Amino acid sequence: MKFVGVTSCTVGIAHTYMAREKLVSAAKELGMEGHVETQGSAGTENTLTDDQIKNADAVIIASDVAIAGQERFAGKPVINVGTDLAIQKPKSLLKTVEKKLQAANKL
Amino acid sequence: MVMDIENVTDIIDQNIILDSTASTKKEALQTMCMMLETNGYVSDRQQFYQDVLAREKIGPTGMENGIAIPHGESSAAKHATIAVLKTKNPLEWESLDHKPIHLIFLMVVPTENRDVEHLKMLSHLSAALTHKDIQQKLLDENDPQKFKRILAEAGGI
Repeated sequence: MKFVGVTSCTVGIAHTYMAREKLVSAAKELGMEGHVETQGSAGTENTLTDDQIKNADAVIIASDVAIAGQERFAGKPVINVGTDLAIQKPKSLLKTVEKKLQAANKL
Repeated sequence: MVMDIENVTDIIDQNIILDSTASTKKEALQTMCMMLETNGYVSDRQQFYQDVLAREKIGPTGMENGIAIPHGESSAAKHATIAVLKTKNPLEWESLDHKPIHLIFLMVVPTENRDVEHLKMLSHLSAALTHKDIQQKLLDENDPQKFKRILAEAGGI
């Protein structure tokens, strides 16, 4: 599975970045390709490229607040979760998304 | 991202206690707020403490394996920093894995005159703290200089 993601939290200091770290590490372990953008108090980092979005099978938004640039993902399967789930169970989150895509014949 | 030991030393400064005997969350946080006021990072420790508690109400800041990352965005915060407190006593604290907390990283975030580079450093340290091997090394380290070195070498992705 290839995915892109966006993480964001209320203060934009800790959870945003922990969620990204967990998702990227879990993707590596599972042999998936994942690119994750952070929208935090220091601005947007690791901004997703058009190609990354175009090639993604799914979009995972791990956020506790509304994110910027949602329109970039029009037409893609978008999964919305809180940052806590991405931090606590990143692997099972990614596996669940992959299973759902497979069930819907989107992989 | 690998950070220089100078950067980490600079951002934590003297705000580190690794041999605390705090036995409650309140005691630990108040000890840290007092330290921050004494070291000139917080102008009003009571107000900062209240702002930290306000963030606690939004959701758990206890992470995994005994580490918590509370943070206060506050007008009483003068400079961005991370205060560190480690206690041998298990603290009751809402956490993702329901384990008690032993090591606290209190992120101090000013509401005005924010230095983006400092905020980035807080963020990248948060990311580094998600790694189990780093968590364990930090939980086992009692020397402030060595502790800072572990953080500096950890970086983030």
